[in-house]
Amino acid sequence: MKNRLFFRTLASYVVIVLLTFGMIYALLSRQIRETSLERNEVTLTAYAHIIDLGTLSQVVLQVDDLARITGARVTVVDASGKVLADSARHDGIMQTHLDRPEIQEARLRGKGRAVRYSQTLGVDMLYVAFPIRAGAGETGFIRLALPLTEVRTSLKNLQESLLATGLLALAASLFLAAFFSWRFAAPIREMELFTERLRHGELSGNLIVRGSDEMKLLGENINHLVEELRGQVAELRDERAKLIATFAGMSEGVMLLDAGGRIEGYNRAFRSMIAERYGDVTGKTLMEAFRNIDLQNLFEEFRKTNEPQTGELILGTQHSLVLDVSIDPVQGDPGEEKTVFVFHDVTRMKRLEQMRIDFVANMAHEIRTPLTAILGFVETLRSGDVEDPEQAARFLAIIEEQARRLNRLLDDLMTLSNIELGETRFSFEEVPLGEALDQILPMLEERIRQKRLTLNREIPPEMSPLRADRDRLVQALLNVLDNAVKFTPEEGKIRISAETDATGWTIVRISDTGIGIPEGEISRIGERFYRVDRTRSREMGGTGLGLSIVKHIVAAHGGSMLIDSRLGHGTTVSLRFPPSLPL
Amino acid sequence: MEEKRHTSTHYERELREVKEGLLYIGALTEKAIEQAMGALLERDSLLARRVIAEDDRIDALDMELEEKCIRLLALRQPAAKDLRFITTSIKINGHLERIGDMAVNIAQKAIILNDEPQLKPYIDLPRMAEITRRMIQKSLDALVREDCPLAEEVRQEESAVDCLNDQIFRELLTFMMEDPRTIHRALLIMQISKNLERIADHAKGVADMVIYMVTGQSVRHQIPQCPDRNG
Repeated sequence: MKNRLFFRTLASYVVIVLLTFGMIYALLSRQIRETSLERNEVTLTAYAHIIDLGTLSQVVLQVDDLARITGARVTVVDASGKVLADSARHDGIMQTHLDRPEIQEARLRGKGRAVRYSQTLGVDMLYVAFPIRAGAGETGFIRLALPLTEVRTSLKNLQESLLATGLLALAASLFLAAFFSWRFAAPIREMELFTERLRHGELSGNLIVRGSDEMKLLGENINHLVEELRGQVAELRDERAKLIATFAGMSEGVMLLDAGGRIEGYNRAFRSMIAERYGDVTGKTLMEAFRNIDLQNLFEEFRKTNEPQTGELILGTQHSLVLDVSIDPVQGDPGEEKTVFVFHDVTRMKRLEQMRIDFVANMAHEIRTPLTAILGFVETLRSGDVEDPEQAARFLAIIEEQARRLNRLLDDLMTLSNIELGETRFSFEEVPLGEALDQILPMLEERIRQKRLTLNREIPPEMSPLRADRDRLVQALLNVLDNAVKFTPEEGKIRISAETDATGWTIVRISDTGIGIPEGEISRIGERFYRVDRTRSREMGGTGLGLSIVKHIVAAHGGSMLIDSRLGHGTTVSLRFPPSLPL
Repeated sequence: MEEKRHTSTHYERELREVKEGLLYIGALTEKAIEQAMGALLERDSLLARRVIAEDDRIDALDMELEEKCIRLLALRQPAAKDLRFITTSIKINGHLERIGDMAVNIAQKAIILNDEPQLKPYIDLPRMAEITRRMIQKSLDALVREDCPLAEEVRQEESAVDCLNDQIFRELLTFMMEDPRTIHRALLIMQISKNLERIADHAKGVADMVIYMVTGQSVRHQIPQCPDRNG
């Protein structure tokens, strides 16, 4: 680019120089020639006039002398054109000179002049001719000729000097062309580099504008454009950052599928939903990533209808996630349409919903069983068919027992909801664990003896007392021990132990060698009415609220309940109480 | 050139469809076992009937996929790894279809068992079901990722299932000897256990095929030793 510019500039300069010098040469050479001719003509004319003073014969005789004096070739021609004498040729064999233009002219106008190339001498000759008059008529002509060697040397000198200056001018133009093309190309080159940098995304800096011509305007325009571009890029980046922040920050899982059905990306929420189970799923198809029939079916439905789809799916087998999913198209070029999946984790909600449904169903069931018995026996008694007072008394006893069971159920429910609502006031005091147990164990003694269970109390005597509400603590421990007694087969073992750990927490453990709880259900123990084995536990007279109450009581003390169990081997319930602060 | 590229991408799409189809059937079988076992453990006969009904779909998809594979073989004449992929796909497909049938068997047994009182709490059976389910899951994951070490892991696990099967057998034997009334139920449970063991075999078969597909080496008849049995 730079070189082409240089050569173009140079060519135009050379043309200008050549034209100029050519014209100068043409003009000057003509000038020189004419001046020289004129001067020579004047000289020759003067000589001719002098020679003219004599007669023809005199002149003929003096030809050589005249030639020597004037330095010109002198030719004398008579009126008929015959050459009488010639200073250059003495052999006399010369053809008639009457047809020579200078002679003709002299004859007609009294003076003739011609420039002719002389074969004889090999140069241009200036011929000047005058008639020689004798009286009225002319007797002949005298012709003087000078070679124009002077003109030739002058022209040659001129040529030389012109050539020298011309070369100088050419050299100058070469230099100038280089300079101007460099001057001109430099800013262009700079712009080129700058725009090249822009193309590679380097948006920093401005073009340095130089000069004051069109180049400057162009530079300023470029700067202006870049400024605008920078603004737009910044705006886009800002938008993008906002979008990413929204995308990342939202609690819904978002996943993007490319046109080929492969996962292009997903946000943080979705990663936390699936990372543990499926790892990084980027680049995989839905089937490869999740192998979930419901999701795949929903996606295929979406592809078939091209309509947004919503659905619910369960991801994974253990601790599975329940997700609401919606599938929507993303606008794109034809063949580049992406799909966006939005996942909403409803696992917790579903579980709560299930708990509520279970709770109502369980409540109804729990209440209906004793109520049916009561109503049945009341009806029997009312019908008057029972005459045996002993039997009537037995029926009444059953009615009483069932009514008590209902009462117990309602008591438990009240306790639970009071604790939950925070309406039960806890009065904290220092309660030695042993004292609490002394209060409870007599209540269980009878049943322990019946089932021939072994009960071990392993409370270190130096244990500091718990800071607790005495009645609630007793209730919690009673519920746990009651369960232990209930679910431990005959001749089993129950062990009560306690310890204070390094951080000052008190841990009360009640272990049994009972039937245990299946691993998957441990987390559900403590839900209201949740029973591992419905029929069996109800037979034993439980309300299904026992551990739920324990859980809430311990929580109200700032502690926690932990259940560890192996099916068929036994269960350990650990109650953790926070360190008691000095009162 | 353009035409060739077009056909080759079409071919690639067909191969991908085979893989996706396999995974789909795999997902269905995974679900079938899970539901069949769920039907047994939760005593949910309705769920069991659903498993049995769903198997028709697995069978239909199995036929469809096999046909697709054969068409690919006939029309595209694949070579090297693609050829291995298609032939192994046919075999994996067969394994998966059999697994679906086993799930149906379990569901059928569950329906009968659910009508009778529970013989004993299920302890080893769910564990066995979990291992087999995980084996299928892993073998399919291995297929997705072409992951030989994972497939090898599946092969190792098969022996654990065998051991559990033996254990269940021995345990049920004592039940039957003690009380002949339990024989019917015990035999049904034994069959379920056997079915699970067979499922594990098929899962191992899938894993073998994955290894063959990736490496081109057949490991089918190299039996991984059961560490429990040796110890």
